[in-house]
Amino acid sequence: MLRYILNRMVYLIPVLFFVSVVVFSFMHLIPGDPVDYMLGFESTPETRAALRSELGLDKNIVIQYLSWSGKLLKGDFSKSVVSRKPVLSTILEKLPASILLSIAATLISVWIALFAGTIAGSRRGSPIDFLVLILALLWVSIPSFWLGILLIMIFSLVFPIFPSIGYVNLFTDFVRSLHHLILPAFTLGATMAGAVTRMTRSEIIEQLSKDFVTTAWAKGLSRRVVIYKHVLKNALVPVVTFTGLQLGTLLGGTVVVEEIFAWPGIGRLVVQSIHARDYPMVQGIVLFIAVIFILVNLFVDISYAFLNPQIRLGSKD
Amino acid sequence: MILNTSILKVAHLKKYFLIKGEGLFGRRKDIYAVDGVSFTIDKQETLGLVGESGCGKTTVGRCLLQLIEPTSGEIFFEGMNIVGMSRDKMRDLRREMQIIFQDPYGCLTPRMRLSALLMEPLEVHSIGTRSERKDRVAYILERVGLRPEHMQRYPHEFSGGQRQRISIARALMVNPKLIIADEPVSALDVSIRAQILNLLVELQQEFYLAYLLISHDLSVVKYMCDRIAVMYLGKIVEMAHRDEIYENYQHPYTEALLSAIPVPAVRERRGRIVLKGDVPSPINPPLGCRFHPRCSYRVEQCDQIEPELKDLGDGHFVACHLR
Repeated sequence: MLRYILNRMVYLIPVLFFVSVVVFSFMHLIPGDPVDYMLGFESTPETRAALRSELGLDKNIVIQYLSWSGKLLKGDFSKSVVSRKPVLSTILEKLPASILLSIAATLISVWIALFAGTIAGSRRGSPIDFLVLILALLWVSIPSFWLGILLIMIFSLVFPIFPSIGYVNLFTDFVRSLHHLILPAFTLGATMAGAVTRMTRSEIIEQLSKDFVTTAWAKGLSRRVVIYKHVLKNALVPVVTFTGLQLGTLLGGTVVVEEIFAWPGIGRLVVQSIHARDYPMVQGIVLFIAVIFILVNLFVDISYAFLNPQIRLGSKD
Repeated sequence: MILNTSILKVAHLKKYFLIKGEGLFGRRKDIYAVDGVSFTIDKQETLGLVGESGCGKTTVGRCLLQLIEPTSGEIFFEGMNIVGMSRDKMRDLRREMQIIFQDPYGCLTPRMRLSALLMEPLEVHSIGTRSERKDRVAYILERVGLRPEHMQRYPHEFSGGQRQRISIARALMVNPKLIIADEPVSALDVSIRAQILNLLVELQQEFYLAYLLISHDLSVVKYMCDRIAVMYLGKIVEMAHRDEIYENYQHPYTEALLSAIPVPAVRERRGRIVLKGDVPSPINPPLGCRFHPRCSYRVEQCDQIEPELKDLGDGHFVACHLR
């Protein structure tokens, strides 16, 4: 197991190298100049040139990449060219809000999905099944920017139940924090909820046809126990993997959702940094997200092994 | 009180499955899987149910346990009709009747340890305390030839024969009176079959069990059963004591089945009756006697009138116009 984990860690190196090159080149391909943004268009050419050389933007692009990545290897994410603050500390400062949002979205969507998927799968062909399938398809298809705006309209403007924007630290005011969390988390989790619901449903149907389910009925177990203990437990393995893979999509989704709900996380930070052509900041964030994405996948693979004893022992029948 | 030795009495059991016809507007059709089956099983008796694949043997077994709902008919377990019984009442009855499946690989939940798997039936029926349940698991495991330390393992860590022992242990946990064994050895290696069959015989004596043994293997049935019922296309065509069936068979289908048993003798040549054609479709069974299209003794009335199950005396029943 440890060997496996180390193996996977080694794979991180080429992936990260590739990501860093791609991010770097794309950022510099976007037209626009951070100097314009910082000094305004009325600035004199002299001040602009001075700022360029100070930021290292006057050097060859390959040199720029090497100097940036060289620092990176030493753990230095460089400084923001706009705020002049270190990139890493800015990311870490914004990270808790994003993590909170992602976790909340995952929890909400997985609970809804497991519940709806199990009901639909165990009552295949019933009106409930039909309804769940349609809703799931709807959730998957709704773009989050539209759903977010719709939710704000309904639940903040027409019925002012939830606040439309803002973030409150979970540790300063727990209740208010959750209150602010619900709309963005739901928006972010909708796609995932739909996808996981469909996955759960089909897995439940698959497991229900197995012989051990008949055994469970013959034991005299109640419907609840058969479904939750025997069927759902076995259906869960692929669902967990799938959810883990969806977590990556979730990270991408935070960019849009945080922007809509003015949520001060790294998603919003990346949008602002792109507008400002803050090269080191964008590069740092994307790289950071890539690392998280890979680590999450690794974690999913490991938890998969724990859920399925057959994989753990490396034996197959 | 009337002396009643039968534990299970099945009367006119029918199970039709609905299938969708071909095409979008295809008409729904019935499959006559089980079409009017009656028999009884006495206490501590083994009744064999034999027949070709698809003749409805397994459906009968599952109907008895209400794992599928019969279309009509009555099933009396110890005098109580269980057809249409409420779920709660049926749950109590599941203590008394258990089932062993053919496939020892698929019938155990893969993600539960043996101890949890075996203790579950006791928990459902709230039998004993936790430590008593554990003791019972250890005791039963030992009885079926496994070691108590196997309790902490998962099903996939056992061989096919061991898994069938686990299935038997699972069925025995609640101390049932009737066990339906649906092809209990057909998925196992020949070398292990005898062990499992002997185990079933031993357990029958020890726990006073009655068996319904569903099998297509006539040598297994001959070894195990007191009485044998032969099924063809959803109906019982002949039923008698074991020796009667093997030595004094009356139905042409039984004759053909028995002639198909391989004999371990090189020189002995026997007239083997090879049935022509396939089993007719249970969607559209033949009129009259269901066996008549393949029967070599066919007479005029066979394709018109369905023969009744006649009592030839001494518990021998046959459904054939010639007898």
